Amino acid sequence: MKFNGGYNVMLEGEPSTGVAPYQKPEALHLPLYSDRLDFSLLEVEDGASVVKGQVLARDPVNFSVPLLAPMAGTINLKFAERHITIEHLSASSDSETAEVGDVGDERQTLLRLGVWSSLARLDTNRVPDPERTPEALIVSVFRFEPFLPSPAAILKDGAGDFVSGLDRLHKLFEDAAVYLVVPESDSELKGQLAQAASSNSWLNLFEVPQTYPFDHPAFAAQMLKLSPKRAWSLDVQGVIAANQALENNRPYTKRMVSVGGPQINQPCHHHLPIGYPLAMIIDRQSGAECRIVSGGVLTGGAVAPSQLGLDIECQGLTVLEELTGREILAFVQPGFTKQAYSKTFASVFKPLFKEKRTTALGGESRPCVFCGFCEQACPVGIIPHLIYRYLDKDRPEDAYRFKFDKCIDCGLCSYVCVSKINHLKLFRAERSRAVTELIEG
Amino acid sequence: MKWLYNLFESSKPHFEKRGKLAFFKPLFEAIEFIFFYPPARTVTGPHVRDPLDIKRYMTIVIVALLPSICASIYFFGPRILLMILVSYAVGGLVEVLFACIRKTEIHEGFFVTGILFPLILPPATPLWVVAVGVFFGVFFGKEVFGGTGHNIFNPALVGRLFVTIAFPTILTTGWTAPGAWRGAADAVSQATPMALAKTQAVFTPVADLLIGIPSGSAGETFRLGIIIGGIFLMLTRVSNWRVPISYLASVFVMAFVIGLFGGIPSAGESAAPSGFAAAFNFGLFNLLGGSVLFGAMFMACDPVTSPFTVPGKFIFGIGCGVLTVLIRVFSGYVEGVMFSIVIMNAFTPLIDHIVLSMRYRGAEAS
Ligand code: SF4
Ligand code: SF4
Repeated sequence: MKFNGGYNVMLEGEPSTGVAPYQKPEALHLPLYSDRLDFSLLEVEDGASVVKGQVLARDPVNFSVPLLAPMAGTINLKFAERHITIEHLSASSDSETAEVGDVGDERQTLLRLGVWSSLARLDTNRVPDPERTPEALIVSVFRFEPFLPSPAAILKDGAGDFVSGLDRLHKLFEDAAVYLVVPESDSELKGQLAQAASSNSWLNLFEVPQTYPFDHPAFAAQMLKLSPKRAWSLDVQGVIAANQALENNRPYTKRMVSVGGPQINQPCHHHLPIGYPLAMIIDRQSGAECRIVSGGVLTGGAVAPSQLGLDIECQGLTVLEELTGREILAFVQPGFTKQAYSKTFASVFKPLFKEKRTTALGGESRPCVFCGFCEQACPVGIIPHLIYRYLDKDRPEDAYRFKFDKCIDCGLCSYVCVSKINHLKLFRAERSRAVTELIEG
Repeated sequence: MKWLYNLFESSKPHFEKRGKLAFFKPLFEAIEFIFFYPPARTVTGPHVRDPLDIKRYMTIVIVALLPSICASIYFFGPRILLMILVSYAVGGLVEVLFACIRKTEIHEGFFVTGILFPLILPPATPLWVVAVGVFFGVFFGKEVFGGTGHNIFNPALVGRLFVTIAFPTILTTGWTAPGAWRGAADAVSQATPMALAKTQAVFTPVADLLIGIPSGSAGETFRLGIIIGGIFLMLTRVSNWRVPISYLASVFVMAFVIGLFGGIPSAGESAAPSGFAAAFNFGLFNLLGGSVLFGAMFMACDPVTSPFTVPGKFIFGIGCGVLTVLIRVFSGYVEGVMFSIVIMNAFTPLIDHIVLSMRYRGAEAS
């Protein structure tokens, strides 16, 4: 298989695979929103006491997926806007979890225990309909975007839970094929997965070069010629959570989160309940103005200052210093400390290193000069500047004619652009417009 | 640098909306941003961006031109510096005026045009011709199309074409012998290698061409420097190798083929030289003589005015090469580089259109 494009952004502050010791919080602040979800339907009242695993709110748009209480305590709805705060946390044991309702089928169990919302349809990135069944399930095990949790941290105790989770999902989805996206390079974990794949015909490994965004599930689906409409993706933690939900009836309320970036003192992983106060995990090097990015720095979103706790979909937090100073004559400096996609900085004479990046745009916005970098970096072989031009002129038909539907929103085109054009923003706007049209039409 | 920063900060109010000098805001900003980059941040993802910006991108081209610039000053004297100065001043004026009227930023593409233009002129071109040419090139070659990124033709070539047609006698007598300004050459003026080849069938030796002994346009004589600069440009990825390489290769092949079939100019009544070796030498001469190297490395590969599709780049380069040799051999002009690039510039949108419609043929049907 031939891989074109791709590029690794070398960012300083890669989280180690170690997991930081857990510190008990005073309270949990559960945001009522996340990247794809909006828990607008509250199911608890102010002052009520809740037990672990109790439903706090639901997202009516996405098949009523629940937001579950990670710990027992007292509800405070007034503490912060669009948050449910749980105070007076009690260290309840697992036996005190919420009443198990009517034991439905396995899909209902996944839905009820908060696992279903980790699934994503590859065509729209939305939570899939529990009534439907995918043809294939894609799990990207190793992530290359800075920074998402490392499987070495999540699967510290071996891949057993993970593989049996895959087995259960494969059966649940009526013999759907399961693809694991793994790098070409060998590792102990990959060896274990390869072994599992050799003894299960439904389990396949899809090997990719260790370059962003070849790890992207949508990219794998394209290379494997799977229909994005009928392929779903799930992350490693979601698979383990599915296993534990189906085996032990355990709600999915804790996440392994990577915390890294140039501004973090000791980049590592944390295993935390949803709603865990962000302030307790962000240990910054300086008091400089910072931006916390949830997810990778290319595709993730900035965490609003009003968000107090870990949201339900958060995977990793990367802390970047906001650009404040102004560089002097930057365009004639040799640039030993800067890495670029082109070979225009003196750093090409040095071995590859991780760079301390800020949120600098890196230049002024200009019209496209057809340098071609975006096309060279694009992993799916489309011409981003061409598509951008048509979308900008409000001619989406032409954008789709040039295969805009292949775009996986990896953001590399915007990353490399000399003229600082933000393709990704426009591409995402068009996609959400198209999805809305699809739903309403 | 603190004092400079303070100076900018204190003068800024004059250029704001209600300030006395509001009209000149683009100029003020351009100068300020050259010294101090704007503290622009990313807003949405990607939250980090590549450090290469358009200023550095254009600067790299100028760096690649340095060997040619230095050599031209060495060969033709300080008047080359004056030509560059005039080109920047007049071209800059047009650029600034347009930016101020349009109330947009001043675009960096001009820094390249401003230096390329004097380098493709005969070294003795009068300064007023430089001024008129760069004015015409920037105005009609770029601004009327809407500025950098929207132009169809290479602005420096548009200017050059204009002065060639408007002032033919001045342009054809401007060929100073290299080194003449400091008395290092026998004659003050000298015919260019292409002219010598065409009219007298005298072929300048390759070694002389490489180090720039014969005359030519200001920046095109020191061919070793052009090769170094061009390779540097390709290695940095600022220029895409496809256009220059296919251009150069097709010039060689085309001339070689013509040479094989007896198309080499001969002196007087004597028969045209023929045979494999002669054809090879004719190919090499066409590759190194004249402005092919400079044109391929610095003019044809301008990304804005050449196709962006990969096959299109090859078609463009080959088209330039074939046209260059055809004009040289079969037309009344001694040099065809300028014409061929401008002609191919005109075909650029069409080439891209055809390549795209072939590549996405299936897409339209579905
Ligand atoms: S066009 Fe889409 S897939 Fe290609 S680089 Fe841009 S975001 Fe990535
Ligand atoms: S990277 Fe930016 S400037 Fe270069 S071709 Fe793409 S959109 Fe145009």
